Amino acid sequence: MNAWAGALLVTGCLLGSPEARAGHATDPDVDYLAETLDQWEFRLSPTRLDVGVYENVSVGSYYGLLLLKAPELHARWTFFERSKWAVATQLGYLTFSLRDLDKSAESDLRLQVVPFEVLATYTYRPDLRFSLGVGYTEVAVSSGELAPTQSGDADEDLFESAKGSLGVSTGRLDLATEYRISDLIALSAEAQLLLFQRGGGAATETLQPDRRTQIVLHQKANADLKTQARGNFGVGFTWAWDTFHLKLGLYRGAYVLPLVGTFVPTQLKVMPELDLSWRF
Amino acid sequence: MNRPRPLLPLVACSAAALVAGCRTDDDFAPPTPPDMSALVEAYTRPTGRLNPTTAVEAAQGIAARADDLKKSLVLAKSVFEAVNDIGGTGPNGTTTASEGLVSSRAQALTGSVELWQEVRWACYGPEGPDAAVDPQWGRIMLNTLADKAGLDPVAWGGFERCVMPSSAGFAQVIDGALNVHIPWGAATGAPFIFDFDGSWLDDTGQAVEARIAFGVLDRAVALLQETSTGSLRVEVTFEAIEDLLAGGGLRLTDADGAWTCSVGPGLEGGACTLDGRRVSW
Repeated sequence: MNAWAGALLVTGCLLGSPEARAGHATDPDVDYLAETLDQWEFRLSPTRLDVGVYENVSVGSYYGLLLLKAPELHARWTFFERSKWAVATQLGYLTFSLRDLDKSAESDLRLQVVPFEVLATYTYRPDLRFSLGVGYTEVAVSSGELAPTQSGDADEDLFESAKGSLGVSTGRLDLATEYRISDLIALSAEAQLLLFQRGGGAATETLQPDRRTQIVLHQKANADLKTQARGNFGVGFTWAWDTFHLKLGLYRGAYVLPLVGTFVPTQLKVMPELDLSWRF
Repeated sequence: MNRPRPLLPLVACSAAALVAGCRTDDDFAPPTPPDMSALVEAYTRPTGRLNPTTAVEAAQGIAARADDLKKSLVLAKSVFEAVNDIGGTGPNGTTTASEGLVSSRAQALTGSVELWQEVRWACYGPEGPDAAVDPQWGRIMLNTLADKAGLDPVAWGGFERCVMPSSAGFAQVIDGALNVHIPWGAATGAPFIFDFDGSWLDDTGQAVEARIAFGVLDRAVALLQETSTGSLRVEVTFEAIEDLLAGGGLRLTDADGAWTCSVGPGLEGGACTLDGRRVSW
């Protein structure tokens, strides 16, 4: 764990009141369970804020992305709770425009991400729960017209220009098990398996090979990006005090881009996970 | 809480699909080229048989279509200027300067690949090829599809009030739809097939509706001429079109193959030979 994470951990512990740290949450809010915050309950982390806005409905945002002028919103609804089962769905939206960040950028590069997930949790015993989820993420990147490049004699007005878009669709299976070692501490094991990942791109080039001829070339390609089985597996511990929650974990396997949800070919031997938040 | 509510998941799925659908793929939906297979088949494989009777029918028929031949020549020469920049291997195996453009793009892309291009060629105007480019003289638009195997043989589009000089020294305005079948990479002898449907404004200021289908190969315009035994492909060289009745410059192709012909003035007499056979009229 690096110094930054350590500092956050210490800060978090200091900010939690002694009374709060002495207690424990009976229902820790973690992403791998089909749970939502209570109405008007807040969860604040260094990167994210969530709030329960209605019974079994919470909304949130990775507010840190606003520094990049990339607003993100997500909402989760636990729409089914019966006996030992709970089922939730989550939808998010992230958008980013290079021109919003830098007015002088040559191209208006735009990114849109829509993650969607359906998650079911089965409570075998109060201290042992299993979750199964199916996630789908759509990523779309588009560029505006790139500045044309001039060539040839000035009076012939020859140029080339281009614009295009790229999309990646990813489907994955999420598996999780949580075992409450004590009222305070939960042990979790999680896995993400890539179901499919497809990429598609389209671009338009405008060329002027001579002064009388203009060629507009449209190109489109689609490819299956799942060339082999990919997934990752991790274990973690969650400390769930009344206010302050801390999760530490280690993961191994394919790296998944945060928020974007795209599996990248890079295989990591071990990657640490740190999540700390305050509920109030 | 036991209140299953199926509406929100539906809304959520719809929202995800809606945003995902905002990708620009729909903007790039490739157009569908026209079906020219019947016309290509007719020009590639004439059905008639050349004999003294059908030779006279063909000669008389082609003499009556001198205007079609002249229009065909203007259309062909105009389009060849634009086709030259589409890129691809020409009918005699040569390649154009921009051939590499489409093929290099196709090879660079992985997975399923679709390419298509729009070629916009600025017409000469009344002053000819050396005049400055001016939008008022119209343009020729041609679309072609391509994949990793190369360019599709069908190019389609049209003349958009295209002004071209005529050999008689006046401007003519051509407007209408055009389909061209281009035999990319084919051996010598495969014709370009043109199908034009539009209007023609000549120096008299009269717009004439024109629907012309013709072929071009080996510096000759080919017209299909119906005879009593079926169609014959009559080819008139570019040089002979201006003075058709002077004779010469005529070739005939029937179901058996290409005949070598010698034709007299007025197309009223001549002889053709093929594999030792001779037909005269």
